[in-house]
Amino acid sequence: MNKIVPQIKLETYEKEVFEIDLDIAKKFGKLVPVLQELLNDDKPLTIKTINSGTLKKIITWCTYHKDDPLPPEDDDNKMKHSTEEVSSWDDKFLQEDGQAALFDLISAAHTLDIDGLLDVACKVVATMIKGKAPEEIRKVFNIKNDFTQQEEDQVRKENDWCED
Amino acid sequence: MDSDSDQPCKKRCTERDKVQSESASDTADEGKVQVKGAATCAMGTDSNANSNTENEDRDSRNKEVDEHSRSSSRSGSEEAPMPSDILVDWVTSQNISSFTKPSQPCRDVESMPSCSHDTRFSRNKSPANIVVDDTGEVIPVENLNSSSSDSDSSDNQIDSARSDRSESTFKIQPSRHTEMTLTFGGTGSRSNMTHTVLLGDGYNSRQSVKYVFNFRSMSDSATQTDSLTRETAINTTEDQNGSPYFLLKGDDSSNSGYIEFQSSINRLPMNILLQIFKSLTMCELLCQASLVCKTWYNLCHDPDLWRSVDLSHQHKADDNVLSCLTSYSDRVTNINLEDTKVLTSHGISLVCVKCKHLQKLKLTRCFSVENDVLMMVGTSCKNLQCLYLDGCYRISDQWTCSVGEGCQQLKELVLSRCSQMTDVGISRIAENCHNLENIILDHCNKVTDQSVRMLAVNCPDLKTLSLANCNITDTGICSIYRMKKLEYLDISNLPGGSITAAIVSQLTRKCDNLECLNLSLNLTIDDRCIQEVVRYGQKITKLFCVNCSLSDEGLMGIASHGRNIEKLDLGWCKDITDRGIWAVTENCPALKYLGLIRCDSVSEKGVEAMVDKYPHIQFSTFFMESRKLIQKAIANGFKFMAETEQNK
Repeated sequence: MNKIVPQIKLETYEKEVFEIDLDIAKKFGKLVPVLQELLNDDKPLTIKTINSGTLKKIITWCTYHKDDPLPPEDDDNKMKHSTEEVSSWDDKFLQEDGQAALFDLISAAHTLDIDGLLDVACKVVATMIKGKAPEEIRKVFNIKNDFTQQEEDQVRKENDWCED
Repeated sequence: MDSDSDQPCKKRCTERDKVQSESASDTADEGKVQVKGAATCAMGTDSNANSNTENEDRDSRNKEVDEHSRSSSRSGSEEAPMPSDILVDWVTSQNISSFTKPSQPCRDVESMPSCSHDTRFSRNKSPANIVVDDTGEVIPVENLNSSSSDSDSSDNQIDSARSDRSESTFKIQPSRHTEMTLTFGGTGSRSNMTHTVLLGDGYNSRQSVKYVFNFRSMSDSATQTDSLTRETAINTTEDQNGSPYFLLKGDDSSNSGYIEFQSSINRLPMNILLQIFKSLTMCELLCQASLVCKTWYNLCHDPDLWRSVDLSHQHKADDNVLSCLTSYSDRVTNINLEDTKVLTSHGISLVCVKCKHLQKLKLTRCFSVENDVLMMVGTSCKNLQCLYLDGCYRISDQWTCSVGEGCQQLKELVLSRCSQMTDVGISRIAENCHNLENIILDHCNKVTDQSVRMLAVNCPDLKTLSLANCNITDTGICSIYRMKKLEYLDISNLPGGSITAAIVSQLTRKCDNLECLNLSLNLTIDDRCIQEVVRYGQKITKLFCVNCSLSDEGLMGIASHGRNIEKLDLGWCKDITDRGIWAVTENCPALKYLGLIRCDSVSEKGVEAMVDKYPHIQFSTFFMESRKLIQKAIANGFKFMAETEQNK
């Protein structure tokens, strides 16, 4: 006999409705109580800041990490947690669609309050910054340099004591 | 588009806005333009005329586009059966405008608000065409505008602007897609052609949009696939209103390309950027990230990132640097100044006075630190929990009054090699800091049994105690019996013969939470003592007996009781032989590390055999370690003489 899995409905930016099993949606931190209230509601919850592609990725990620232990509550363990390395699956999963998709995913993880995803995604972005000169970082993220040469020299001078 | 002008064009604009907002809120409205699958923006030859006929054309166009999009397979909605309705904010004269303009598009962009675009239209004589869709296919302008029913997007021919104009500005209203293709009907010569493409108000900052560009000129019959180089194509930025735009430059060698106009990193919420920055080291923050742009510079100095200031091993960091870094946050909880060279005692004092919320202060090997720093810590940092002073040889007992009274939360105190410390200071700490859990006193050779007694009486939570090289005798060891929570005890290298085996062998019976015990360099520790220790210390996982009086008999004891032992160091125990080692490896299932350096009676052959039989155990012998070292050297490219000669 098939057990009916409770599902929640989310509507994306493109007005596409996704049905998500509740045991996957339990990753959605603060959103969980809201979603549970809507459980018996036919009307989907509309989240306009998330597009369909991103939500699909989120569902994939949450499904893959469904059985992960919940992140520790206390600060000490959280610190330990935050220095853990990103698994190769996560790394590949987050980077395979390019930077823009990654940022969309981060925004969405923020909206949906998925701590674990936000955490690894931020680490992946941090690795994109690490070991690069400012000019390279600007290129990678397409950021315009709004410093004047003078200002830039000033900042460099400020930090010239700092060694690797 | 906020304007109250009465110009007709303006009026249309506001109507349009209304329509847009209504359709966005899902109200059924005849005027709303809803197109499935594809959004098209057409840049007609005359935008004003175009917009006049637009209303009539719209319905038919929509149908057509609708059909078109259904026939074309769309990427991005594979699983969901639901057709993805995509609302197109139809590009009107407000949304797309083109005008000739001089060389600096950025300046024009700033004055882009729609009130001024009448003048622009008057100059709009021969604009380029722009087609936008989201399928990656090109929708011809001609077909869309003339409402012809058979639009075949596969062999479309783009109407080109026949002018030498090489600069233009477009404003497009982005639709709700993540990918669009903009096709420009190019001019005859595309040398130095510059398009400024503005994104309209509908741009959703949280969404990424990918634009694919095609440049075509009349002379090119076939679509060229050369990509624009990133440098020439991409220059996305924002005008003063925060509306994004980008510049597009083409030349003869680049006829098409794409640009990902993405929800760039700086559009992420600031707290997320901060979370990203938290994974960077201080050097990466200051020397790399802060130089990227002003936004990053400011973020890099956010209080959130400076609750913890780590200047360890920064030899050039002086008092000014320390003072500066600790001023970003007014809740600095953690300062690490390990191995800094030029900081002065005075500079550190001033910072300690300022950082009242300090919880952890690490001054390891800050040789300049004197008592005055710690006096300040005591008066100012009431929440201090961890204090590392190892190697601060200048400090004496004087500071302990202040810290003892001020820092009653103290849990961890490291005083290794503070050789001026005596029982007076340690007793004062013990009497005041009842929460103390870890105290490291190794190489404080003026510390005696008196300190141990005071700690045992006053600090019931003590878990870690290191007394290596202290002046401890059997009396001290007996005091340790009272520390019921003790997990880690180091009593190695106590003064010759000062402790007796019988007293030590009682330790694990009394302190039954001991997990790690270091008895090294005490020749009075014998087989019988070790047997007792292991027999009663069932929680012991790490046992160090370097240079104790051990023989195979002691190892038999370990073998029969040491089921939980993971790490065992028997270095310099010259009496033990293969027989004892075999017994231990066979009977201690948890064993992962066995230290056998200079166990001269153990044969290398025996160890080789054990390595083969128990690959999960790391055997440390002089031979094994040397071999590891050589392998590492070879891996790093080092060549040994013998080897190079052989090669010759």
